[in-house]
Amino acid sequence: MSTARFDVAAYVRQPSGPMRETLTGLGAALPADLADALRYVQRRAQGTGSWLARVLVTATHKDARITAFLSTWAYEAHWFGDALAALAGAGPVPAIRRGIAATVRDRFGPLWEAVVANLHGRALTGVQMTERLVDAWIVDAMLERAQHLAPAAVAADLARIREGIARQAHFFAETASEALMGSRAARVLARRRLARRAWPIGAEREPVAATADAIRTLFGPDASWADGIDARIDALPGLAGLHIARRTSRKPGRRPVRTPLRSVRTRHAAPVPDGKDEAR
Amino acid sequence: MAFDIDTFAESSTAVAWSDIDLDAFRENPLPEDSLRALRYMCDVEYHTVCYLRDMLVTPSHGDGEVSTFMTMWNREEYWHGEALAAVLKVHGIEVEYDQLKASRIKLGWRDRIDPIKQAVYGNIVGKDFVATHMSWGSVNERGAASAYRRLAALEPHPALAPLLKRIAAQESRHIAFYTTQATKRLEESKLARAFTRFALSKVWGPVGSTIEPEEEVRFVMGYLFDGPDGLREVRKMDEAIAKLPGMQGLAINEAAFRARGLYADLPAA
Ligand SMILES: [Fe+2]
Ligand SMILES: [Fe+2]
Repeated sequence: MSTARFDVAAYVRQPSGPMRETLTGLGAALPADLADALRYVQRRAQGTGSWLARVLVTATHKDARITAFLSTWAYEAHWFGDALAALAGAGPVPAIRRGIAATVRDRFGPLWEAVVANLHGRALTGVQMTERLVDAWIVDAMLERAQHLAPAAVAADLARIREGIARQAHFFAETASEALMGSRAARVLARRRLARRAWPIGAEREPVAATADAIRTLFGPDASWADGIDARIDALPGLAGLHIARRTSRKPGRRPVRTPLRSVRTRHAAPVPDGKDEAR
Repeated sequence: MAFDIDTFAESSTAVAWSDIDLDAFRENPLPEDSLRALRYMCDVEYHTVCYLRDMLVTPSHGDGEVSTFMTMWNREEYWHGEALAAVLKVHGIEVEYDQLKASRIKLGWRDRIDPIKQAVYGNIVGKDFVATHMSWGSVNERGAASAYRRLAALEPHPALAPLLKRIAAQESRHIAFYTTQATKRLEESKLARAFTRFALSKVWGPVGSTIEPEEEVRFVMGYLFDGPDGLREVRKMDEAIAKLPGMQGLAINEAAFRARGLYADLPAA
């Protein structure tokens, strides 16, 4: 596989920690909708627990290299979120999505995942790494737009956060590619799961309108940001033709009604019988 | 005792040991028994992620304060493992990612069933289960802190004791968080008190007993806590646990150690 392996030992030794002291844009006035959008990204960064709960009930928790990385990744994410909270200031927090479906998903998701994980074994690890890679791309695109909309001092802080996210993404890119390349089961499962979830990760915990507002504020009517991300997803082994970002830009915060048909261009992913791994 | 999560998070650091001269172990290595205890402790620290998982599948992760703590705590414990691994390494004992992987795979079916079990309890007992987890955490952090302090006292190697004391100081902050949370949550709910009392008296075992062979548990507990001094330390832990709402009269540490053959010649309280 790749020759220069991501150096986990070096990464965990020098994480990005508390940033408040060194923020340049603290106190700069932001348009209300931009502040809302930043708080939206902040909630994703500080809400890693739900995702980790589903990940650690699977075989992934046995991989000490990945768990070492994730421990530090969650730590960094917390402080990125803290910096965003400081920049955006206090504001309304939408209630966590309540409906019965959301409650069931939140409570029994990890439970169901733990059961299903025993069927899929290590293929799920590849899916999880791919999820985080795609999420990093989407969140990075959001912050890049926020940089353009924010005063220079705030933009400089956002740039630092983006650097941190980019470093994390290196790990996810490497582990995801290796896993997808090496396992047909991982490719099949990744296609299915990536297509089915709402983006960014954690959007399923918010009212649909919160995600829609954040996307609209940052990107406006122009959906070209999505094409760049979709092209990168297309280039991952077996994941061509999912159009995840385009769907997110058109119907933010929503999961698709049904799984899109498999692209004829995918050579890696062979058809699988439906309904075997409904893991939600 | 109030616990300020922001202060805790901002001051959360990876335990440092670069200023401690580990080469001192080359001239003056630790005896085999102490190394065996360190190996056990190192394993326990590295397995924190399994405990984090058990925590996350309960309804606790929705709580901002708890999830901030878990994030910091999990990383601190990881570095406890790294620090101990560094000491072991000087002695030629390698604790590498791959070996750890093997030991987690060894956990086998129990490791597969545990998250399911935890999630089931968590969702049947619901929010009250968080109180049990917090109490459990309080008990285990106390166990860890006093194990490190005991080892530092028994093995006052000039390079080891300072490191163990630094780790123990972080464990004390963990005790404070879990105890504050447990006390509040136990006070609020009778079901939480009943379930926690049941879990601690019937299910709980000494730190590490779910991941280490019984032989190792016996050895390490005996090495650290046997004799009148050890028993005094153990009773101190049990007294603190018994102060949690609804836990009066519990003496789970002493009971667990007596069940493993310790204190045969010392009278029960
Ligand atoms: Fe520890
Ligand atoms: Fe601890």
